[in-house]
Amino acid sequence: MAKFKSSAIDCGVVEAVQTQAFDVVVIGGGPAGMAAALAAHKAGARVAIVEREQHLGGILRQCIHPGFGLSHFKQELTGPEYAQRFIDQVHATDIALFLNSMVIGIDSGEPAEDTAVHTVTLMSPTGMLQLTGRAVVLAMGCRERTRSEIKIPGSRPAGMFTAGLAQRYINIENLKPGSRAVILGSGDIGLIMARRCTLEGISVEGVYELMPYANGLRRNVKNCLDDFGIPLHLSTTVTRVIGHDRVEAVEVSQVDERLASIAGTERIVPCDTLLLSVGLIPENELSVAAGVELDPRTRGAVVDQSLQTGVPGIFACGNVLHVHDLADNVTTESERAGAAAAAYALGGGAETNAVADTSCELTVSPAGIAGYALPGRITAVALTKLNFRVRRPVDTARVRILANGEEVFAGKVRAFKPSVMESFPLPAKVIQRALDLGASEIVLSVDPVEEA
Amino acid sequence: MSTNVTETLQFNCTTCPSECLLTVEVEHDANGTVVEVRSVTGNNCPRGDTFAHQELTCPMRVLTTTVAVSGGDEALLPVRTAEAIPLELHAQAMNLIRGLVVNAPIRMGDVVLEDLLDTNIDLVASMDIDPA
Repeated sequence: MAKFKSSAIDCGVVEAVQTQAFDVVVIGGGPAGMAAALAAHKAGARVAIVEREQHLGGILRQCIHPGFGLSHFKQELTGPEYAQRFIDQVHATDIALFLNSMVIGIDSGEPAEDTAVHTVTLMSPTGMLQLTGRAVVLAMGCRERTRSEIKIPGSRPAGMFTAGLAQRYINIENLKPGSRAVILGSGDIGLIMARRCTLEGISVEGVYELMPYANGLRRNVKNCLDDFGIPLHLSTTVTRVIGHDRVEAVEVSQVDERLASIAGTERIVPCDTLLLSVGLIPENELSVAAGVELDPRTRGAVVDQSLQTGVPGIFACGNVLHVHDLADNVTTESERAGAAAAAYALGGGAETNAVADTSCELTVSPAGIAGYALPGRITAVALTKLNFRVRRPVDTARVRILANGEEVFAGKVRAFKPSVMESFPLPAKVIQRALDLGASEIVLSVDPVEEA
Repeated sequence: MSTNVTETLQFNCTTCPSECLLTVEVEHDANGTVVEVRSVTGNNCPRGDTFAHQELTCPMRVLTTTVAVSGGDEALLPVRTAEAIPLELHAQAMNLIRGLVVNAPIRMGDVVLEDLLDTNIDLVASMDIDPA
């Protein structure tokens, strides 16, 4: 009997996949993808956006609350308004849109004729397509941490949702997730959903937060909880879920300084719904498959100052790179990524790297209470925007830049909060100083200081 | 004899992302009504002072929610009050908005409901919705 052999290999099916050529292919049509695509288009690149949903806009379509645009548009907009302004700008260009299209891979691994070109394979309503581009921008956003990632004991009844899923049900799909909710986690989505549920007639029993401080923005604690008299229970967490078919109650317990639950503080809170707002994770499966190295702290790509990943020609921006708290910051970052991707694509790819100062190759690491530092690599002696986030709130601390153990820069003393992504301009002369010291690494340290 | 009470409150200004922590000295009468905002400190700009006064007399918030769509490629239209309205009207406004149905197509900024609860503020569409 003849040995079984896939007919696809011999029949050239792979070659039959339709291919379209661009300069820059942007994966994701949310705020990051749209800003990157517009910036790349403005720089003269032929640009495509691939978006798995039916519409552009990404998560902003379900973020119906205000609070967007204060820095970018100098006025307070809702999420959909913020998105619509970019959707209108994209529609006013010839940026190619591939909607309802899911990217299934970047660079199949098969040797391409031109190794300087990336291939994005996607499944669209009309079948499989390949888009080529000298540059690719990763703008896939992030997803929510789930119950399994925080390991809440108890049964597994219906009625447990991530806060963003409940937001989608209520704001997009016109579904009511429950009638009596407990919210675990005081991240911004949890706080926003406390208000949204209340307005829609779903009673919110309380918001429970493991840490001794709220994780969301102050404005959200005030406008979403205080306005409606919803209690915020700090240093308290859900220790058990009760119910067989449907959630009937949750058990909450106070926790000690080591975040371990304190025996004897258990309390039963009746509810039919538990919303989880316990953090976000950049969605990087495609990036990893394309060979992009991730930073274990951000769970996003390691990038250089132009937001280029370790794979030449692949850039990353927005929540797929590191989780932001303001869409406006996503826009600013993504415009940089889009412009850099266009410059790379139009400048001839690898040759632009040769122009860069090859003597500059620094890694950037966080220290002190800084949870991460971005970019992770600096390859040019130029003013560089550093982003970081602290791991715990402090009233008085300062940013210090260290090279070879020597302090080459110290910022002014001020307060830092984990809910705020910080931005810090690193002057070129500080980078040069680090190089002069023979350093291969710059350390961004945020250190608490005693008040004078 | 005055039975007025002076109280010190702390809350964040929500006018911009700086979120200044305001310390406000406020005088109440026996009924708890604000008689005078005596001092506002902690604000880094004049908007914090305006915000504190407004917050203690009649807190204003933009209300956002959704209304049902007929004949559109989305089931719901996100809507907002064009400007902030008194917070105390939000529940009443929700009851009114809950029954609305709008027909696609809709453009961002289209008025969904004029002069919401006699506030002189319109309820407007936050997004475009195309026909199905």
